Amino acid sequence: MMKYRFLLFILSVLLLISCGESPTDPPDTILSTGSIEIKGIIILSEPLENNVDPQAGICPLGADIILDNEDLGFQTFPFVITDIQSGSHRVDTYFTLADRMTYGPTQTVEVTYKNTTLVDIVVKVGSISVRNFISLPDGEQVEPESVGIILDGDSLGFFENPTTLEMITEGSHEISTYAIYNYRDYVGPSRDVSVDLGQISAMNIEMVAGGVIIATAIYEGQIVPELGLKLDGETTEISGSPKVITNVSSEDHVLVAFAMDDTTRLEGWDTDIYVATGETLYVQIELQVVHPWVGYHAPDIYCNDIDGNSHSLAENWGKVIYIYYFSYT
Amino acid sequence: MDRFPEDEIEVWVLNMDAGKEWLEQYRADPNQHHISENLEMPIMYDAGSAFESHQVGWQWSSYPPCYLIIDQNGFVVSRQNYIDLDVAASVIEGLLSGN
Repeated sequence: MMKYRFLLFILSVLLLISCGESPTDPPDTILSTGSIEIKGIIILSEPLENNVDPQAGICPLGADIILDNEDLGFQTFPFVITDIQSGSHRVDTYFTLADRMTYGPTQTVEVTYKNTTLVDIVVKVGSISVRNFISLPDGEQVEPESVGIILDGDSLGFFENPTTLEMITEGSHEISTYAIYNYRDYVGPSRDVSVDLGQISAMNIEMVAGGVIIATAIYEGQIVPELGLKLDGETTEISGSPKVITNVSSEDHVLVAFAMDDTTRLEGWDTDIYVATGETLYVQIELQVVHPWVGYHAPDIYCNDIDGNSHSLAENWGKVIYIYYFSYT
Repeated sequence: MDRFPEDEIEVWVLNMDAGKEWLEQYRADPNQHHISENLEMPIMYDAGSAFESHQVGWQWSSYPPCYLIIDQNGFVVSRQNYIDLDVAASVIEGLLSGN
């Protein structure tokens, strides 16, 4: 019995002593790395049936590679990056297609220990044919000889009109144009175009010399169904709302809206109309009863003086206007 | 009207039936008419066509001359079938002062 008690005592002492020891050092970190292999091709068209050449319609691609926001410079494919820490990584690419800088799709890749993860950059391209024309006041259509093209915000410079832009990546793009015709600036307003693999997307762009005004008018809280407009004295007759005026020059304008409420003439003035070239301005004007009698809103009066200057009451809105009339007798 | 600031008041002289040549002679002779002391003011010669659709001007049944005063918001505040520059000036002065 004493023997067992002694053994228990020894074990307890050993246990207490072992509790005070520092833990052993952790093992050295073993780096877990793998590789990424990047390949890239440009696909120009859908593969043909029974195509004997598997490379038909395919071009090799080289690109600048950005790995986790670090630019690795221009590389030809296939390109292998070694000693990449295991885990998730982001691969971006940019390259030149038909002299245009183009970004490839961002890819997220999972790198595992000692393995090579493949990244395929596949760029599918199509074309956009762009034809620009101008409708002259007499109804004739003309095509400027050359136009400037802006694709996705990048100015591509001047091209013959019409032209076809090759090697455009598949998907949606924004395109706008500009030109000078007969000493006047014209723009083809910005619009979206969808590009499909191997296809030509056709765009017929009507160029305008200025902006567009789309006008509506309200009277007693309701939108009037028909109205007329007078822009800088040039009248368009009463017809369905909204009214659209195109080719508005980029300077300040006076816009008068008018309508009839049964036999009562309604007018509203806006003297601070500015629309930039190629843009659309939406205007809503509040109409009031006009009459040349005290208490009523004066109608716009637009006439010429003997010196050849044009005058409009609306242009002088904000001033006190004194009109004196006399008769030739 | 000369005493009011040009950027706050616009003065037009309108005629509905005289030819341009007659109006030029009219302007050249400031004694011909009692408000033509300011020879720089615009004298309109096609006001008839401008007014035709609105019946704004003096109508043939009215006795000319007459005048309109329109406030800064485009509302007609005074219309008279006779000229009294003192009365017109008083109205304009009130509008410019905000009264």
